[in-house]
Amino acid sequence: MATSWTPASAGSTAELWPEEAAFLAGGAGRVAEVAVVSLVEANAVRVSRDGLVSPVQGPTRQWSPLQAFVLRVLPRPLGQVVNATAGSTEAQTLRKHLVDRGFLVSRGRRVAIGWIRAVLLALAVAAIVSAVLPRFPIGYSILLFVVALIARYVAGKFRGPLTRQGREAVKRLRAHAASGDRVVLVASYGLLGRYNRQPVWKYLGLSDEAAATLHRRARANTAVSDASCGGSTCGGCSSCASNSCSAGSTCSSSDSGSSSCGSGSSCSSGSSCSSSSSCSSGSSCGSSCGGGGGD
Amino acid sequence: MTAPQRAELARAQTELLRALLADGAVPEGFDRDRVAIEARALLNKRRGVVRMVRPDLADTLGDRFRPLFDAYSRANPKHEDTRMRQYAAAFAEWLVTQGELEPPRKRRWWQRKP
Amino acid sequence: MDKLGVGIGWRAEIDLTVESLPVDFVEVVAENLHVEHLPESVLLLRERGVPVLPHAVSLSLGGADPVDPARVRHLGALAEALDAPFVSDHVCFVRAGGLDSGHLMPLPRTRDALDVLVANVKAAQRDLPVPLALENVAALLEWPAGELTEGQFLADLVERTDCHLLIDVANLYANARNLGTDVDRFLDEIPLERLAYVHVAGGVEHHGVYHDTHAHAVLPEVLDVLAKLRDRVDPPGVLLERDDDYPADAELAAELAAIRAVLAR
Repeated sequence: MATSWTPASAGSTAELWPEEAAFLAGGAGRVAEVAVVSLVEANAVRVSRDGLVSPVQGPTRQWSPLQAFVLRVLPRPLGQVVNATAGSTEAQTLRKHLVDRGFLVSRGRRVAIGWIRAVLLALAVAAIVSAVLPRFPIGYSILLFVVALIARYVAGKFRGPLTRQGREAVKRLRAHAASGDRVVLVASYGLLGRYNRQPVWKYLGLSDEAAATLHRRARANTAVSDASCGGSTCGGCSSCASNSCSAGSTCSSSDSGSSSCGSGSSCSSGSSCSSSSSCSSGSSCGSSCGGGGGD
Repeated sequence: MTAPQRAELARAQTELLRALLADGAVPEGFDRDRVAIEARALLNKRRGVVRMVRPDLADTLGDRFRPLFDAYSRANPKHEDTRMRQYAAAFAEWLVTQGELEPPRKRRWWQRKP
Repeated sequence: MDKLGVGIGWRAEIDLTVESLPVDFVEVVAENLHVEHLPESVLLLRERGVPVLPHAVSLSLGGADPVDPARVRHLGALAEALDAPFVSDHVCFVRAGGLDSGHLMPLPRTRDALDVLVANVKAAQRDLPVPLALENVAALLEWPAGELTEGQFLADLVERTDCHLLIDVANLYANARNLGTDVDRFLDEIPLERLAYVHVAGGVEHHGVYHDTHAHAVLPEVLDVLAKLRDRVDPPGVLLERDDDYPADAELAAELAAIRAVLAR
């Protein structure tokens, strides 16, 4: 049940590790979910009832680049963490890596196929037009029309983001989902997907409120990764490049503060005002601490 | 009943908070080093809360977040009627006027909520 | 005082952890809750019969301004909503001259400052539906010209307002470490029969100054202070405060167990 894949394992072509397989199965949003859930499974983060993801203090371990990214942006609501991670350069790097290894179709090739299909469509239209031209043999028009459409259909087969190798990897991943491994489950279907007629997030024991933070993201974002793929092998991959995914440098911890922003009037509003990072690190601490509680 | 005591206490406490929050002079009788340590503690705490409330600012500014917030906070200590969220928003506005942050773009009707 | 047992500070980030820990009572930061929209987790704990004590951080009772009635009302409303036996805040000031320190600042230990504190506490007590307990704070700096020790200051406060005491042994340790407060003398001077409960928290030493962070493990030295208090009185309750950098559930459980072990000595 543990989540023991490591970035070092990314070498072999035969076996893909959950993060990579998740990317193939559901794109950057999916892989972001897997990064968070794998950290939960590893006891490195916790998710509160209202969906706030916060780090669990403990010994430093080796994390994948995406997991490390997640840990850097915490604490944040689950949906925001997933969005930010999906838009991170780390997710883009993973995408490139999968293209290089032949699991994903490169963006250039997908654009080229798009053009080819457009040209074939234009050819089919031209065939119809040619049919009304005087002295143009109607037989040729019909032949051109049919051939153009068939060619377009065939080209469409190659339109998907996944290569054959990629599609097979996703099949293998889904076959493994029955094992009950929660990370593989999320990788296969996504938190908002269903497994055994139950939403995956429910299966993981997340609260309704936590899942609700995801729904917001889902609409903004999953269109790219999930929705497009009703079918079997769908591949996300397109990633959430577009939307707000605030990737970026993130909080470098160092600072401190701590505590229930309680004191003073401060956050009288919010619920979660506490937290913020530690003063465990260096200089900054000086102080931070003081902030602590006192109460 | 306690009016004279209150007046004197108000003066002393205000003087101390000015030293701690707004680079005011250290009031007589206080240990300068300790005042500096306490000032840093308070600043770190405020910065942490602002980072919590507006992680987007921390993301955008990266390493500049800390020095910029510290400069802002010393020049504009939080007023007692200001909520932390308002304070963070005022910091964001200040960043724009300082040219450190792009003004937020207006969302058009066809654009999704971030 | 009714027996409370061993508890932990409820915080939204660790709500599920708190629900799963073996605790007899919890404390909530009053300013972080809305009476109308209490967190599901807090309501669940109440349903289980776990006492939930509102702990305020913003009354600024030691401030020069009269207490803000709205803040007192909120605290009182919360106590009623949670059916809490009492509420608490600190012996400190938070605001002055329109500025908000964002933290619990120590008071000058003068008779004049005590007069103002007493007047404010009495005003708050008039508007509160339940008794008020007041907590000693951790200070990084000392006011000049103090006329009373911290213990005397608290003892006088209790005598004049009939408030209860919430003694934070980590704050006491911090003041001993940073300001030279005499722990034994402090414990001898305060009226321990007015003890509502005790706070225990973690911190860290940095450049020779102890910082009461609530974001680090509880030091053995702090548990030693708890033991000194335990030698004098069996406290009605002891509560572990952790406000940041929350460790694994097991680690929090171990800290609670360590507290129970000191109390059982």
